[in-house]
Amino acid sequence: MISRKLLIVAISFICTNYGPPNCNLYKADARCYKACNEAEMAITFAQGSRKSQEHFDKSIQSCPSFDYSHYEKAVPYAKRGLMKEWKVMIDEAVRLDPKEHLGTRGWYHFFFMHNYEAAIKDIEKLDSLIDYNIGFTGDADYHLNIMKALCWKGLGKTEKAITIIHEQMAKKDHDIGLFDYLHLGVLYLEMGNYENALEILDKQIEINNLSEIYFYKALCYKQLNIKDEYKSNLEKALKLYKRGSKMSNPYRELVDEIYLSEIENEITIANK
Amino acid sequence: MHQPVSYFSINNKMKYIVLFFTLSICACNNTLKKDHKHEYLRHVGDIPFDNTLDDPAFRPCNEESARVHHNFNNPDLYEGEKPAMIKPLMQLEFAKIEGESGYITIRFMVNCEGKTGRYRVEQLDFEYKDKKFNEKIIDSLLSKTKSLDKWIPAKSEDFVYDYYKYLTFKIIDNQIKDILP
Repeated sequence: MISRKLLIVAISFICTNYGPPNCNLYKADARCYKACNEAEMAITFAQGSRKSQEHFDKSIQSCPSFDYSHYEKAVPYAKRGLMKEWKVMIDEAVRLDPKEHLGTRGWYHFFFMHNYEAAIKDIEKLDSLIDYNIGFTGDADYHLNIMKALCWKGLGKTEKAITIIHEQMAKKDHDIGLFDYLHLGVLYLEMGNYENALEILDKQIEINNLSEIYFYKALCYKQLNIKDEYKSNLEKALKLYKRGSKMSNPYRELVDEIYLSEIENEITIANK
Repeated sequence: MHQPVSYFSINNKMKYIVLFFTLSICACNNTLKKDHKHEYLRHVGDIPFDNTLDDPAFRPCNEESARVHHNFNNPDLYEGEKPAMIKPLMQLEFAKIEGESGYITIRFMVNCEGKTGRYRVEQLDFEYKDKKFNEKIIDSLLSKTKSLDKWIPAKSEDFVYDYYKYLTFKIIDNQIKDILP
């Protein structure tokens, strides 16, 4: 259990501190070596700041095929809702190195824009290009196949989403992501398969004890007409929410994330 | 006696020299302008005051240190969180128009008192290319977004910051399908 958490933290650290490649690899090509050094300089400044962007420009100017700088220069645009600019830059990064950047582009389509079709297309394209594990989203929250399942959920294909998650979880090299069981449990809840949903939601507790688990368990018990469990799970959800033990992401909403007003409204209904 | 012709000739030469330098400076300026195409603001996504668009009554408290919503622990920064923020927006009703689909993003600034201004609207299709939606949906979304008045001033380490926020509306056939992020 501890080692799994450490692994997730390690992956998260690597992915959120995505630095340029080892510049020594470019020493044979003076222009690209300079581009790599400029990129290293760019990330010493705040992401999206004038100086950072200018260093990325110098990097690209020096070696237009240095894909890392196209990718990194694009990121602050996406984080601020400027997707037209992001798309032009990330497309160039993908053109230069599709294996490296398709996964990230797909993740951004999914996370920032709920552009599920575009996200699925990128993940499937990546899968077709490589014969190794396609890996995680940049924040390490999801394996890209789990993210793909959430895209199908967004398109209303609940059964397909469940199938993809089961297929991914069955793989020997799958490391359970931060919210895998929660999403699977909620999918079963949406399908009306409450017993299965409860069993799977309980597995999420071992990963992280989130308010959302008890909120969705409460909804299952509500449907099963087990009033005591319905109410007690809502109380647990409320308690954890107030303690801050809930899904959260600074760049905003996660799939199946819940809010205080939703728990309180449900408690009002339960007490009627 | 001075030859008037040669006098005029020298004068003409001077004219050409002046003209040459003037053109050179113009050419330089044009080059600079071309380079300045990539001139950046303090930060990607900053919204400077534009007297043709912005209400001068809205004043940032400390624009130079303005941040972005995701810099804070409470990223919704709205009383009642996202459900309260999007409720009045989701209640807007529009006639179905087939093919009127894509994204409408409204970016703005919230100052240290929780007041808002500097609204900007971007309209894109699903390929993230420029698109023009009908005026009715743009005006309604902008006006309703401007009416949201429960923004929470962003505090961090005893300093209250101005911050930039955005809402992206995913539109399918002129209907709001999602409000992001």
